[in-house]
Amino acid sequence: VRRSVVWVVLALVAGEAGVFLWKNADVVSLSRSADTLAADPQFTATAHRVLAEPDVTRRVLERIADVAARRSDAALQLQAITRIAAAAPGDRHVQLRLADALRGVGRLDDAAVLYRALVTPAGVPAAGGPQ
Amino acid sequence: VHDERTDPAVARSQLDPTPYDSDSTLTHVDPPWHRALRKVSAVTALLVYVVYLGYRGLYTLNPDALVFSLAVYFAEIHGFFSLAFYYFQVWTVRGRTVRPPVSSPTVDVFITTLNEEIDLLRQTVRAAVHMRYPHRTFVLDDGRRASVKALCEELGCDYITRDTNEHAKAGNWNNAFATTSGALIATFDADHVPRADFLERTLGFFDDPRVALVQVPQRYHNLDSLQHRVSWRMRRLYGEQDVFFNLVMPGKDHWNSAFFCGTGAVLRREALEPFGGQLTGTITEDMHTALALQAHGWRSVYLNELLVTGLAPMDFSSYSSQRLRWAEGNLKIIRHVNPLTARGLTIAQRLCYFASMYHWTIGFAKLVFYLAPPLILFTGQFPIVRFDRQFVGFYLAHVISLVVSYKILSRGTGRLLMDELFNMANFFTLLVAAKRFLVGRGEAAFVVTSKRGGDQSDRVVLPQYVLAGLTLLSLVWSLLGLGFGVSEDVVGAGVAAFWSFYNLALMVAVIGLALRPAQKRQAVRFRAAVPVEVLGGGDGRLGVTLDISEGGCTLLLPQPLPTGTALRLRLHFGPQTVECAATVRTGHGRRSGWAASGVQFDHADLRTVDRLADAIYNMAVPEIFSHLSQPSWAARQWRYFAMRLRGGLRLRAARHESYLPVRVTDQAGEFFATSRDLSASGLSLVAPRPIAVGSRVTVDIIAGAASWSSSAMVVRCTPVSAPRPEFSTFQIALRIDAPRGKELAGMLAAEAA
Repeated sequence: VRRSVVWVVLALVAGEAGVFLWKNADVVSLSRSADTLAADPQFTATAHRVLAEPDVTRRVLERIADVAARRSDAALQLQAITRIAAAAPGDRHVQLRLADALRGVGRLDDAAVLYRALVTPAGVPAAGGPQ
Repeated sequence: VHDERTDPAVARSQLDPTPYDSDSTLTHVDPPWHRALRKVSAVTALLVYVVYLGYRGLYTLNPDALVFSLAVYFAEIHGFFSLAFYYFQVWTVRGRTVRPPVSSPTVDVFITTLNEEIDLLRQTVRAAVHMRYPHRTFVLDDGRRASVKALCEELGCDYITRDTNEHAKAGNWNNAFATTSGALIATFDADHVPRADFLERTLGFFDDPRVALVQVPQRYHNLDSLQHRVSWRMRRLYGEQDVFFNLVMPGKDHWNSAFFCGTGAVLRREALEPFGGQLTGTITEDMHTALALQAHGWRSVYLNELLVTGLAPMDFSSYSSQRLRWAEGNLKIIRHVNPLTARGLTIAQRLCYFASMYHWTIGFAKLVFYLAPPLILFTGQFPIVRFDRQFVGFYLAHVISLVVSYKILSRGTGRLLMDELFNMANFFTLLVAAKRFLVGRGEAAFVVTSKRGGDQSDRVVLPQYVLAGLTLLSLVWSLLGLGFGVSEDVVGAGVAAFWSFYNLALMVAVIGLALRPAQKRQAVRFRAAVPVEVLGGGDGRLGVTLDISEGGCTLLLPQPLPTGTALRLRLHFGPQTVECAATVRTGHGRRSGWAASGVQFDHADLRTVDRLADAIYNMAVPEIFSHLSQPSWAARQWRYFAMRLRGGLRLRAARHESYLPVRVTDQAGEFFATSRDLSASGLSLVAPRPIAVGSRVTVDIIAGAASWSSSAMVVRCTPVSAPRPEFSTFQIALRIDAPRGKELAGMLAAEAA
């Protein structure tokens, strides 16, 4: 009986792992090393599929942003960092990265607004508009 | 059958015509400040619980997982009512003082049986016949067995049977009720062995003409049953029903709502006449009948004394079927008599009876708590909207107040972990009972609970297997999610994982209980240190038993005996000796210098079996329960500390619990005894006769292969009464002559090793 129980448990765990891999194949594929992902031609498509999901963890978003930066894919990097910033609105470091990403895709006005907000002391309204 | 009730020497007239109120026998078991502390802690815990539930309802329900959130919330509300009912019932725990009966009511004793083994029934019937108060014993056999009829003829009691088994046990009982005439009826199950003084202790309450029922607790002498946990070292016994019989029933007695539990009770015929005996239509006729009696204004009495012991289910299958019957029966009573609306009950009685029924609905709440952690780990959804410091604060305040108050109100009896273990064991059974109650299966069948054991099946714990598998898979799923970054809520997963492991431990423990090795012995073995002389085949050696039953014992002797050796043994049960032939069946190796052997008694006649049974039930059983009644570790430390504060602690040599055969010689001759404890200055032992304090004796102590002798002085001699006087003994304390103390200390060290 004990041996059967052990085999049943192992089979169930293996089956569960299979279901998990099938259900989260894209996220699992993004857990490979950054170098591997940077060289993977499927990376962009995978990243876009993941970003289309409503619940993506910060770790995965960071991985996408990191690999996108290596691949000089500024648009994808901005997309990932925008999601990170939306989940952590009070994180000044993330806001700075968002501003850099905006600058990287040429959206200088938006970047400037963010830069200015970051250097303005709390309680003082930041000056708006491109200057 | 000679009817002792007609014996003018025995029958007594009314000696005390003054009205007697049984409430005058109620006593408080706690001092006043304990009672105040318990009430304050109960009220505090309930208030904290109410505040916690309010906070939970207002601020923490999770709209993203509303069904899950509400399920957990309602399970917590169920828990609140469970706790409130429990605290209400144990609000004031009462004891009873016993007074001998003044009137001389006639008594019939009913023993109901269907298919129980004849050797089991034999000892119950013998014990019933030997109860001292004049009575007639009736065996009510629904099995219509010639062997039971022959047993009744042999033992001098009446045999009653019927053509059908209509209404099962209650129908059997009512059939006898209609054909007998005793003013009072004592009732026992086939496995419940009453003490000789059972009637003497219980009948006095019936001098109050309003008392319809006296119930005593059900204790079980098969301590290796499924529902017991024994620590011989700590001298502690846990029984699953201890809280009920030690706290809830004495608490119900305070509210005049102690109920009939089917066995170990005395009932007044006059009260039952309008119903024709016990009520039928439910499978828990005992509680149903008690409820009806109290609705008619009758009183009940609960006497918390060890007056009868029986057998608890040995295997999980029997245990579950018994609990299913109790749960289903208790819930279905509400269809016949709703305690909340029935006429004639006080508010307290309504609450007490409703609480007893409500208890059986806990299965739903427990299922929610068992499923919650896997749901959290699989879905990432929580039953609370956020797990923050505020929630943790409220939750900890609630849990701490609950645990502390439960411990305070449970007076050392309740053990939360063990209670949770049996909740895990029972939850599915209770769900089945609730389903049968709600969906409305017809009249349920009364199934006699098997007490023999032997059914080792893991099918009965299939729900626990499924839950354990689900919990395990959810843990793996959560780990995979965290590992691959699908989830990142480490704190939430950690909390759910902790909860899962707690539940998993309970599930594994329950599965372990179900897979315990099957009981193979024919008779229950009782732990007892009985000095044994080996008369034939053992060179006159003196040994001691480790455990004993009517069928055999584990015998410790200085030298091992080969398997198959035929022996003639003389067992010294205090003042009584029993001689029997025996055969060594197994060798159990050596223990502390002793060779342990499994010995089977070869009984030539039933008389020897009966004498052994008498000795066991009158000496071994009371001693076991007395031995295992040690207060909890915390209570002992507190008592020790208080005694030190008061300066009442007497310094004495360290005592070691030790059960060694001792030969004692004094001026009147010699006798055999077993030691109870040893120290460097002396020993105490259980002797068959008294010895005057100050007199000198010679003791020969056998300790495995070694023996040791010395002269000693008797410093204390205390009588130890037994249910039957012929088994009464004396606890004797001896002071060893000083020069030999060091040697004794050396022997103690060897014995301890």
